[in-house]
Amino acid sequence: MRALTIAVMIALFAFASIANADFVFYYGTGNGDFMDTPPVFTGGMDPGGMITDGSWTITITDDGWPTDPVARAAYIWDTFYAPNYMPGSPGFWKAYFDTDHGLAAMNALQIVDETGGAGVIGTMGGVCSVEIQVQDDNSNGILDEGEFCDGALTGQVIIIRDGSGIYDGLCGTGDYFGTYEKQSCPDTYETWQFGMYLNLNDCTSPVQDMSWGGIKALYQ
Amino acid sequence: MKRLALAMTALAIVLFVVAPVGATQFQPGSSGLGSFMKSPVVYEFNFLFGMTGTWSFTIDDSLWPDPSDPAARFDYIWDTFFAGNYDATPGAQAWRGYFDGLTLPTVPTFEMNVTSTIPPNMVGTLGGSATFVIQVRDFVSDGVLSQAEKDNNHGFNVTLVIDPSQGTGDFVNMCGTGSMAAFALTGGDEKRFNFVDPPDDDALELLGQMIIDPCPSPVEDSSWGTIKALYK
Repeated sequence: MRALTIAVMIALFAFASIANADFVFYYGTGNGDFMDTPPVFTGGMDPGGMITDGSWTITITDDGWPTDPVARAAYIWDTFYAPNYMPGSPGFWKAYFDTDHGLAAMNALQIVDETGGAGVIGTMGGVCSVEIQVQDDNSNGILDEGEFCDGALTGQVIIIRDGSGIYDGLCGTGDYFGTYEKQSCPDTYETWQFGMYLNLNDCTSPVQDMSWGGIKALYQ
Repeated sequence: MKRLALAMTALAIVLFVVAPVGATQFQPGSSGLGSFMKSPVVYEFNFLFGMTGTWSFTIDDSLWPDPSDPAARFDYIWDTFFAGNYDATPGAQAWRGYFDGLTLPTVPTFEMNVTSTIPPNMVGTLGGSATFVIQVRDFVSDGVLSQAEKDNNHGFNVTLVIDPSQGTGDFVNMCGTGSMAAFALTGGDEKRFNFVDPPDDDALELLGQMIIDPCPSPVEDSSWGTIKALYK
């Protein structure tokens, strides 16, 4: 309880600086299910970061995925995990949910900041990759029961300039680390817990591709 | 501001801990140096909190051009790992580079020399496999990497798999996993990933978590095969 109080006090102190900060980070915990159409992982913020109250949502792009549960599970495994087996002791599969590995579009990320307890003070959104690691405990190259219950979760983030409130006009990049855990494995409903870092910059000055192209052309 | 971030992050070690039943979780922050433009590609870190000691990761660059020709080396890295992975999402154009056992001759590795941890205190060494993803933004959305974009601070994350056979001390026969991402813990955003060309050390700060638990009882593949055969 004491630690929680200290965290909240520090977060309140940090809140005043967020508008001028070049970075923001927060810890999130939430739930979702790849069997849902679309898979939506959503939850709240944990203490310890600069955003301490609010919510986050990551929507996985599932265009083209089967809706039948058996076919859907097989499609996800065969498309994102099975091709990415790394030998080792133990071996492991690494799934990359992004456009480079079979998604029709990047996953959507939305963040609502309610730090301070007086309602929404800002929102921001963008896209993110989702990387999930599955350990092959007996290194036999076959997914056995119990091997897909928990593991590492990571990803890359891009914040697009469509935020509001204290994030109005900001854009940036970031990354995150964390874990996934299926609550009643092998059931597919899972909990995500992660820490996300965002480097935000003032992007209010409009820049057109054609203008930049023209400038580059002058120097070539 | 940076010290505040460090303090808050360190505090989160205590608050942000939910590990699978029976597992021990650590949330280490670390600061290190290394470079993709030097050979071998080794980043060496000191833990800042969560653990004390050092750790490193190594990427197999045996197929990469020698650092004496940095232009050729960078071009090879870019063409091999990034150029083919361009995402044209409006407002979020970016390249992502994947460094793993599929894109490299061997799976990247890591080693940790842990001299203490937050309770329960654990001391020893551990090592295993690693995979990395680096994101490079195309800020002007033209599909061409500019010098400014190359020199920017890039997103970086890594996942780890602990090899129980490498454990010593308190990590003997311990299994587990880990994940880390670039965070500006003590410095500015420049503490995220940089190519640093002409070749020089890249200062990188990472925050992440390690989940460590005793390995399941040893099971041989042949035994598993036999058991599986019974159910077919």
